[in-house]
Amino acid sequence: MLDIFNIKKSLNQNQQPAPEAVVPSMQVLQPVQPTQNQLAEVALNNINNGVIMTDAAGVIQFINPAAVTMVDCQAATNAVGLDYSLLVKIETKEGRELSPEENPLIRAMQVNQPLERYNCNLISGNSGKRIPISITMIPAGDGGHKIITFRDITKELAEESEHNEFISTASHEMRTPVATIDGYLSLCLNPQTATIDDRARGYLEAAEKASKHLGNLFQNLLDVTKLDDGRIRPEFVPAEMAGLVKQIFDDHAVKAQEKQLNFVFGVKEPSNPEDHRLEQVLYASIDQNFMREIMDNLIDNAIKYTPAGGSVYVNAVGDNDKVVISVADTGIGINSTDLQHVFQKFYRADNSDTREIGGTGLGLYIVKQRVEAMGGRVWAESTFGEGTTFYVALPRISSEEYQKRMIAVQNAGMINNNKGGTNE
Amino acid sequence: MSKVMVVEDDAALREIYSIRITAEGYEVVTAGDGEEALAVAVEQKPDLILSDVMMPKISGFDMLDILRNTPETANIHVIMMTALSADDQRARGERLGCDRYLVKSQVGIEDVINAIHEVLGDKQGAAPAAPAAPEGVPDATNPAQ
Repeated sequence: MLDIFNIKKSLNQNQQPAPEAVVPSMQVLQPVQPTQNQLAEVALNNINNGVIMTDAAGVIQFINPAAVTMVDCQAATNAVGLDYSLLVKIETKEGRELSPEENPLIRAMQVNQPLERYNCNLISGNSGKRIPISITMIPAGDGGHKIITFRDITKELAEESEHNEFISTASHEMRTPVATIDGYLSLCLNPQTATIDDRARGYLEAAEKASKHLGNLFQNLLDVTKLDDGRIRPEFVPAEMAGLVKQIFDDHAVKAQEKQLNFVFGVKEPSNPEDHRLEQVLYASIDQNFMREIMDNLIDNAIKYTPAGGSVYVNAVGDNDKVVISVADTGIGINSTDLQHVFQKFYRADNSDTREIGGTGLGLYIVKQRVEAMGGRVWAESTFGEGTTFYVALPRISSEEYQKRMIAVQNAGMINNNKGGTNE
Repeated sequence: MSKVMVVEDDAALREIYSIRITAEGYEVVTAGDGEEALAVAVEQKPDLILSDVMMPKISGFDMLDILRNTPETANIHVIMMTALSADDQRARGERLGCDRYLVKSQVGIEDVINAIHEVLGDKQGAAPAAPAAPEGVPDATNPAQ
């Protein structure tokens, strides 16, 4: 036992010992070789990651000291025998409450499927302190045991935030010279302000295209990092979604017309031709700016990737708990390999069509980020060569809830306006 | 001939807007910040002010507020240009009485020109005639190549 204590000490001094650092102390132990189980226990007791093991029903059988500290239950004996959900309480990384249906840990535990690194906040003990964690769940062995592990990611988040701030500052600083380049190029290309020959026009048009691309890239980088590092947070307001989506749809009509597309607000194949669009009143609590960015990106993409003569359908429907907005096109489509990756940063389906069309590779990432920040989900379905449909599902609220929140917003608005009045 | 004042702290952008707006047949005066803009506005009495929001000394919003509360400048048309796209910022600009609120990332210089014509109500002005004549210029240089 004394020897194991020594290992403990050496592990405590150096929490992530390099293999060669462990070997010498192992050699010292030669006379009494600790069993594999004893070693495993030392490891579990000393790592910084929280480890909890439950039985098939989710009742805690084992909890390591790091987990005791993080969930703040004072001692392992207080935890063993309790249901895991009483101790491992989580909310989204943005600080939003998770209903049992949307809580990935609860879902994973119920269906006994692994949960891979989910970033969220751990609500610690009675103090209610929030610890940003990355949590996993692994079903273990035949006994139906489940292992929950979680790691404090405060430091990683701080580093990420520093990183984001750098990108954001750099993008902002670079936008000004890009605007200047754009401006002078447009003066060159405008016959009212400059005289150039045809060759120069060709070159300058190419430069202008690249400069516009660069400008969009910086703008998108700024948009991405602003939400990542919490400089913007969704401001939820109640809204009627069919009307809101129609309004954004209307703003794109000219562009769709210019490209000679059949641009329709409604379903692609109405089951009843007379009922081209079922008039539904759909309420949701959303951020207006996010909604605008999401729809602009999806509709712009649909228009961009659909050749002249094709169709783009924008629609909003609802069921009991969701509002589902769809943007369908009859464009070039996305093959199944690319489809899995379209929401990743800088992922671009690599083929001649997409290279020709151009884009920053951040548009759909922004869409996903914004949708998820509003508690929604985005996905895509596509048949290569036939078209793509993007879906955005957002939590639906009842009309009573809508009225209630509307009144709350109006009251808050009046308070703000009064404040504004006294300041000015 | 209508007079347009360009208020922009970046010298290059100031030049770009001035040249482009001059090409539309307007007389252009400029200012580098809100404070200078107020002085120039009173002295030059422009018909329209095209102004950035984020500027040193006096911001575009504060400048707009002062313009609207000064009898000599209260009726000047104002188009605000900004990098701030948030709706509450737009609402603030509109509450203070600007004619148009343009978000820089969403509009190009030609959109700004269109907005000026619309606000001044001279859409059928020099615009259609002017491009026709210089368009012959590049062609004329072709044989020389």
